[in-house]
Amino acid sequence: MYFVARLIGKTIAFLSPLLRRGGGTSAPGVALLRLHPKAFSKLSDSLDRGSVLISATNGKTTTTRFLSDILANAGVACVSNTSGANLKSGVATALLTKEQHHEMGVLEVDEAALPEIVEENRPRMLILMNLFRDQLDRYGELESIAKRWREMVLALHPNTKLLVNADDPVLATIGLQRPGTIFFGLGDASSYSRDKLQHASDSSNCPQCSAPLSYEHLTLSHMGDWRCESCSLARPQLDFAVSRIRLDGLNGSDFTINSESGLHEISSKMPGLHNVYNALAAFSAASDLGIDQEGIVSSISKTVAAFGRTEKISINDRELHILLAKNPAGANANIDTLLLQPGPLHLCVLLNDRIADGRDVSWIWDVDYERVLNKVETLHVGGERSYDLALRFLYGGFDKEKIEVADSIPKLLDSLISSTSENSKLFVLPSYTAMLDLRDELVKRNVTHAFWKDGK
Amino acid sequence: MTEVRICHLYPDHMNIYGDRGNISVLTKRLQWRGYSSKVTNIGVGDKYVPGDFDLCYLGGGQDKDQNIIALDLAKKSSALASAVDDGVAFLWVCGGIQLAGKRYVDASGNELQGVGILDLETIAGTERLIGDIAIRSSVEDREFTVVGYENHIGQTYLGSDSRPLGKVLHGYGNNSYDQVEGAVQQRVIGTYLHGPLLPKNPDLADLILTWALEHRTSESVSLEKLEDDFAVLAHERAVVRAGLKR
Ligand SMILES: [Zn+2]
Repeated sequence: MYFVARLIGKTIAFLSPLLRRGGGTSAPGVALLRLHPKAFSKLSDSLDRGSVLISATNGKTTTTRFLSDILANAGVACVSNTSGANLKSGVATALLTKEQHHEMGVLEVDEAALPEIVEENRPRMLILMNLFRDQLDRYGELESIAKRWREMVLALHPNTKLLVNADDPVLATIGLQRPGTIFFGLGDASSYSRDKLQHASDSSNCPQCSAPLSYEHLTLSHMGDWRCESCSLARPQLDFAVSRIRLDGLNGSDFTINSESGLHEISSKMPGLHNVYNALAAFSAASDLGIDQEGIVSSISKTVAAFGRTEKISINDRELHILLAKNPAGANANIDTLLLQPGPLHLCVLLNDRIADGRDVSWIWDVDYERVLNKVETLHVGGERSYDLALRFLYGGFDKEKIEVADSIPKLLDSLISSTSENSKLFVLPSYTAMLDLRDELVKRNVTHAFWKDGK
Repeated sequence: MTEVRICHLYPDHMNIYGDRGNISVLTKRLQWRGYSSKVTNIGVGDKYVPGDFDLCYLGGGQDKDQNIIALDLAKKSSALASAVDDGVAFLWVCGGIQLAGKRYVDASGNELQGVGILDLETIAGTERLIGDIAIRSSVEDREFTVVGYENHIGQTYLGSDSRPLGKVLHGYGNNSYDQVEGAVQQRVIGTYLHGPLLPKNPDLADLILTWALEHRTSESVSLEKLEDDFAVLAHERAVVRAGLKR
């Protein structure tokens, strides 16, 4: 029966790229799991060297990409859900379509789906990166996901290696529950530290005693070098620590990773502090998997962003930069990157409210768009919730006459092009499905490729 | 220049549904009409002095924060009640409507005392009431629709001293049965609607600002109309969206 179920799943997998968007990234898994509920465990067991699971609110796709590139360059053949389908059905689809020579899985997993997938997959390694406020209508409060992760970690198989971002106080505390946890974090980010918590920050209170935390430096949202003055809980000792960070706008960043084996200087094409975290997580994981560290360093320097994350597309002699922004922490990280960009900005924000975006769009009011508004020369808003964005910028203090509301993606692109000169850089911050809509239109205009042809 | 004094209660704990957007709307709509405003954040342990404010705002928070707040609010409850009696405008949203009521009983049966400025009580239900919502509202002599997003497990029941903010056109409302949403009593408004609430509901924003200005000036106030085309379009689309079954 399992054999038949797998065969049907594989057939659907073969057919669905022909059905256009979606690229067959989830449908085969849905069919398989319906036909054979135990299939997930069986598929997981079919990988000789097990799986690495990566979860986070932000950065899981990029970290997965970093790590699978590193492993591939080191000659370890991996199956990965590079298209970002990260619910159980998407992970099952990736496992189902793995090739004969694949020995390991590098899989990104949705935060809410993680506990169930961990139980059935029994990964060799689990990487927990961050938890930010995201889609309250779907995930519920941050606290409820954290609680489920806490229980999941206590029930982890003893052979599972746990890697945790020590800069996230809630996750670090979860990691401390278990002996042998490997911690990574930004050892010294003082040159990019904020002086106060961002508005959208959660978990700025001690996970143990609820007193307000104090920070040596603050990086993104509630992350940083934290300690509680009241109960003396503090960021754990770092096994992998980043220092000497230099961010170079959208071009990338240079930094040094300090580990037991010494200092490793890294130069990455991925912009922003958030990507420093992603590269660090991949470096730590690959080191622990025994990959040669020089190889890791050289692989990280070559990795470029996954579709829509930080993508540069040329259109009508303009540079269109797509920076996915699906929650306040992600959008704020993008704004940090835009602030490093010289000159006036052409900004475009797109917002949809489908299930994958979150039906509740209140979160746009938690993004600190105000910080960048005095650099904005043209502003376009679009997507299904374009007027919510228009109101956001109007009440954020942006000149009403300069807010361009577009009712469709084609019209938006036309307007972006006609209101800017050649060689301009256009920065688009879309929600998840708005990014897919935009890319669809760009594929139609023949300026980029379809997303399921992305990566490997 | 008349300055409206706004109290933002617990902005550090109760802010998860874009609540600061509501504050921006209040202050900007005053500014556009030539009034000034001053927003004072009042947190845990701070004193609420009834005569200091014309408008009092409280937003929504996570359950654990709501528990912390409830204990602190108990210490402020007589000051808040006297502000209400003095005609101060109150807008308490999401967790706010629950805390404005008499009590909240959570899923495990624990009882949390509310401030009691709205005659209502809330009992945790078994299903979350979640989605886009539109209501038809009638407050004093004004009639308007209010749109927003609701997401609550609490089932709220009104007592005889408070009236609903509106009849539900689409969505759930206070509970799974009554087809009404929110509560109004004196110049206190409680509602589950966020999104945040005020950007897409300029009529409601202006009602609350009228109350606040009347408290400030002790005179009857009539606000001039603003050019609200973005808000009107966003509002119309929200009514349609709430009516779609999805
Ligand atoms: Zn503590």
